[in-house]
Amino acid sequence: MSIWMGYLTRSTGIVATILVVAALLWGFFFSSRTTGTRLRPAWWLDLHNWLGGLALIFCGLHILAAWLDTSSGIGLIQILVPGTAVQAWPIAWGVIATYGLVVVVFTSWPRRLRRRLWWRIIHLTSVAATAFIFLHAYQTGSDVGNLAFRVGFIAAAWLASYGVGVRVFTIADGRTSKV
Amino acid sequence: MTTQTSGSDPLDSEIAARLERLAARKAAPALNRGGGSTVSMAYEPKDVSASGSNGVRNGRRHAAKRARIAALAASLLTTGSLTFGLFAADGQSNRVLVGAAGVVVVPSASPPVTALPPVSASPPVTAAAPTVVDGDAFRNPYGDVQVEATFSPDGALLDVSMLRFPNSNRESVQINQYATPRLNSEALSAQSAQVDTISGATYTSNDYERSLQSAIDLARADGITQLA
Amino acid sequence: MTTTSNGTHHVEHVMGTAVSIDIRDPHCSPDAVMDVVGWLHHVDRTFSTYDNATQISALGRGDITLAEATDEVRDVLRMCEVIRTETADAFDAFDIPAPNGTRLDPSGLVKGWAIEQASGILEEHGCENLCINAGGDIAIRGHPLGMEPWRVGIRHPEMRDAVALVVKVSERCAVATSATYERGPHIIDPRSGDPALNLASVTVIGPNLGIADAYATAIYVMGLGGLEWIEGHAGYDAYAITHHGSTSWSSGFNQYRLCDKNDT
Repeated sequence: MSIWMGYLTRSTGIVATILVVAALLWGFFFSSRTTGTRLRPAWWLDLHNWLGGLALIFCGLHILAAWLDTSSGIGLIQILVPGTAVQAWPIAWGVIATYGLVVVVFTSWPRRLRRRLWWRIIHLTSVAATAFIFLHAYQTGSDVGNLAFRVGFIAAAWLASYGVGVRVFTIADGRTSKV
Repeated sequence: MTTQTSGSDPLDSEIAARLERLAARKAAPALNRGGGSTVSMAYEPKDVSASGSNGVRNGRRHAAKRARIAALAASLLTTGSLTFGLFAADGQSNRVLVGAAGVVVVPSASPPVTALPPVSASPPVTAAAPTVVDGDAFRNPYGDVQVEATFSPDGALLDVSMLRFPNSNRESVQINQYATPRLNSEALSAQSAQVDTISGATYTSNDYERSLQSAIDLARADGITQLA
Repeated sequence: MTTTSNGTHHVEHVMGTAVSIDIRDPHCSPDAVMDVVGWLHHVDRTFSTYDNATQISALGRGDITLAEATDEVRDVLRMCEVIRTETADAFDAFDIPAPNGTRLDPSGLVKGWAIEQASGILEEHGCENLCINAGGDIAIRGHPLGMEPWRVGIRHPEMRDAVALVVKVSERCAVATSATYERGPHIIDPRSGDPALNLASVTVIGPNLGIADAYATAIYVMGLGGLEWIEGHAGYDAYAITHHGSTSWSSGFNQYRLCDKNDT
């Protein structure tokens, strides 16, 4: 049973990572001005929200599986407090990223935070959370040796940085046009 | 009169053209729906005229729903296939020792000697430096792990580390710091920390491989006894 | 199997755990260890509740009667019944959910009993100084070296690689620990059917490992009251750690405690 929980921990972790990256890209490309506000169908934004929520659910499953795996050494304290696990840093990145995801999701749902500036700052911490997720995946190291992981890692890093770039440039453009 | 009519003519035609485009736009989803499903033609005009805007919204809701279901299904499917896939991939070589067979004793003070001949006759009790004993690599769901135990010159177990491949994360446990503050009344000096065996509930072979007992067995397999 | 001037050592993965056989006699026949390994696998084939083909599973399902079972199975079940009476139902092999879906599970006694028999096999081969550890249940004979006592570390209930206490035992002795670590399988209280949650870990020391194993399970279920109960059983002593980290022990347990500084 414990062995299955171990593999479930890995697979839910991988799927949660894919979902977080997908939600991030959806957020960047389809909610940003690059695609034009008018052409943005409501279901694209809806899917962004859905992917974000799903990512959090799979993150929860990942933690639950790790907790149920008796050989992982992950208990309630290790889940809640960064740095308490035997593998202090690798697990700490995951804990911090989870807190980030929780805050990002629950400031947007069920009710969006009123102050737009605050909401935006909080929402952009999802970029940092994604970076932490990759650090967590890399340092725990179960799938680092896998070719698929490396290809996925590079692709995700490239797409995410492209997305961040697009966002930064559109903000910069907006400012210059206003001036 | 003529100027009025001539002035209104191009405007009218433009408005008519816009209306036509609008009608075409509105009709498009309705037509799609008619073509895609088995809704009879009789209902179609009613859809467009009476509840046209509702029909469009319904179409959008379906798209969102489909996207949601697709995302959920893809996630669950990937999780399932990954769990079994990872298990199957590991299962091929499960329990097969990944590293070199046998225990190799490497005095940690000396320059990195790759493999001294396995010591079997006498324990290195006379050596001044601590002795590091590497166990065989074994596989667990998270990857390949190797236990490494450090013994003091007099044979006392000083430290047990777990090396994790491929990035060699080291989970080290200072076993000299035995008791936590909560068990302070039972605190032991480092001297008395020498043990021959461990009593505790070990449930699975996997748990065993991560236990202190497995490190002690490693040392015993090499002829080292705790009491030198 | 490894044989050095310090004796013979072997680890066998059997009965769902790892059994470490540590013989300190320099010239003990390798057949001794092979006999023990064969015995342990035989016990697994007869008593495992994870395998539907064993006699215990067949008995649990009602496919065979007690009369059809082999003598060793009858002996073990009788021992279980004696201990159930002694412990006022705190240990009960006949009314707890087993992994095979039946309600017959003597595992709380079988592992200790099998190791006790195994040390007897080694003694028959002329081995006098040995220690067999089956997933934390330990049977001891003689001494590790000269007249030194065996030093047995009792696992810290919260930390996998830490020891809560070291006890010294020698000659004919058994050490058994019942515990629920982290999120490991729970020990069921047969009286209520619910998991026992009173204690974090219970260690029993006494002459027979089968009985010590069952007593440890029973005291784990009884809670701290079990320490008073064991006072009435000559030769057996217990040490308990609560979930709060406080420790208690029966009056006779002090003789096993390793008093630091004075001792070394």
